[in-house]
Amino acid sequence: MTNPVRNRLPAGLLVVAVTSLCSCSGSSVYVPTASVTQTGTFSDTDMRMMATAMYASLQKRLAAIAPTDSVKPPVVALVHLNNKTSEHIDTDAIADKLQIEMMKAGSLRFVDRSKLQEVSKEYDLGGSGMINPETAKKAGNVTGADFLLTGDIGSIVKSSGREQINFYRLSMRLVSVETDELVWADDFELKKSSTKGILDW
Amino acid sequence: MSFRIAPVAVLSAVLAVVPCTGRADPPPRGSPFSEWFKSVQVKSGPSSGELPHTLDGAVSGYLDGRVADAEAVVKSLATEKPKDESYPLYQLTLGSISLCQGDYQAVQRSLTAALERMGAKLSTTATGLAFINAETKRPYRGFPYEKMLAHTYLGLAFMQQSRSEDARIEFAQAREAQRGSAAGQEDDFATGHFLEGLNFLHRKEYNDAQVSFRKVTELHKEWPLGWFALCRASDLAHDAGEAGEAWSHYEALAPAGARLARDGSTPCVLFLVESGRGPHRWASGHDAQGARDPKAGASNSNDNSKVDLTLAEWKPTDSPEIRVSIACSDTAKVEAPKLDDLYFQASTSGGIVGEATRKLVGGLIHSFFSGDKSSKDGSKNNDKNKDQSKDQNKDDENVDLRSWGTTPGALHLAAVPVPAVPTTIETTCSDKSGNNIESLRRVMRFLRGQPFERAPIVYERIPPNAASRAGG
Repeated sequence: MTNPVRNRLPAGLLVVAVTSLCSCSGSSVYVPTASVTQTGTFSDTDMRMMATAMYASLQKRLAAIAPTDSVKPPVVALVHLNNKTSEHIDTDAIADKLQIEMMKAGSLRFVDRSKLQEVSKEYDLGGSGMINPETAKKAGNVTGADFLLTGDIGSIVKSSGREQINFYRLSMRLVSVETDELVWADDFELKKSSTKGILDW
Repeated sequence: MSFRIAPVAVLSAVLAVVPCTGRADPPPRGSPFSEWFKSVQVKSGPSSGELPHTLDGAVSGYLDGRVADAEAVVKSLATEKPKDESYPLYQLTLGSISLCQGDYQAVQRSLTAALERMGAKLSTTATGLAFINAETKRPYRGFPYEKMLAHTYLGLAFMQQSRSEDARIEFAQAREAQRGSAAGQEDDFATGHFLEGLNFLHRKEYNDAQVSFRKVTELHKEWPLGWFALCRASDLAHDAGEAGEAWSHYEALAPAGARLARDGSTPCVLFLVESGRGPHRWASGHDAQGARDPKAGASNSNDNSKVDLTLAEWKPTDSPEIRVSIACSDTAKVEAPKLDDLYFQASTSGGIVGEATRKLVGGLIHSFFSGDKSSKDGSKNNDKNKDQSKDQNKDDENVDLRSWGTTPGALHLAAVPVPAVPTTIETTCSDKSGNNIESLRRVMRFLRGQPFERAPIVYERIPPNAASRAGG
């Protein structure tokens, strides 16, 4: 006599196998950019959190040093954020996001110092006679910066058994060019824990 | 039971393999040394016969000096089989070969691909499905020392391309990948610390350079170059106390004729020389040649109801110890001392307990499915099928001995004073008894020395068992 449970077992196993295999199949969908990415390492969510926190803090400080009713907001030159972590993090993306938010709010003006060589070449070209004198730009009108915005991102990674702790710290500073005074500084810290599975290898 | 699980298991395993992400990189750029290395390898290697189209074939070809042939085999394996469970090994091997040829952008491509695959977190489902397979058929995840070495080579490749920021990150990851215990240090890979310190010097981050070189001197108190580097970093960091102490150690250890000037002005070239064959894994109960001992494990292998718990252990490979000396024409030879022995860095992820647990769980799951299959076959009687099943099972139950076959056994480092004009340099190797191995004498022309902080780094590979291959 056949056992009905035994007869149904293969079919049941097949369903389970197919379901698990379907869950393994690749797919690609749009997800909201604000959705949280949970990883043990640096992620887009961390980048957004850091830029948002720095924006809020800097905006608050600017109310004191450059009131919103001032005709011309102060000019800031953004200096490359140093990456002192052990991950390939695009620190310029954090600075870029902060810069865009500040410009949207109209509280700061920015000058780009990363393309000065190219700008200088353009001036040289203007003086070479090749460029229409009416459209050629004259040297000597580059806007000077009132402040330098700079910072570092560092990390400490500690592993103990299956657990790994990743600690990230972004610190940013606004320095007055005229007086070298530190007019604003703040930091943002993140601590992430990840655990390896017992069987992970 | 009429249900056949094997095809499902095979399908599951294929789907479980993590997909490889593509990268678009600029075309490779050769280094000035690449042609020289190629010519040396063509001269030293056997010239006839095609290499087998397998990883083992490519590795043995590479170790015999047939670098171009090995590269062709591994390149085609990496291209044709990107979803192969051993894919990271193809890329690691390709990375070694590219480093040997001085093609640093290719090193970057290969090692990044390997590390991505080895470091990708497997989902619970993928892990579960992988355990249905025999050990040797699971995705290759690499060992900590392999990751450490791959990150170090990546760092070196970045350094050679003047990408010091990326190099710094790779050296830091190398430290994180291997937290050794052999020498009682948190991380005891002196070559990595030295290269990291040098990279800090390039970045003018002198305090960080001091920290790295201090670790080197703690690990190798008798190595003069470590003290010299610490002295330079300390001088540049305006730390007169530490610089003075490091200089006095250097003066005591380095022979007067081969000393570099304290202000770092002596032009020199740094040589990073690999020798021997790296640590290998052998199954316990098997002989040193890696052949399966018929008495050990065979009974388990042939019995489907039992789980073969044979584990693997690390053993140094046989290769005579080689001393490496480097000399500029008409000057005293400089010994390139052994800075790191990779055998002592080798360890298994999760230790012996982790390996045993994975073995037990994997074995139980695997034998459950295999057992099902054999009982079904057994009911149908035929002995022929049963024997085939046993043979198949024997293969499947082999201990996973895969590891990076082109890993060196030891790393040597030396700074050789070389004039700032085109100069000829000779490297010679000798065996344990001090006899020169003529086949390994190499001559490099047109090398120019630079002050220590900007000294060029020459990477060189001495194949294993060179003395015996050269006829003793």
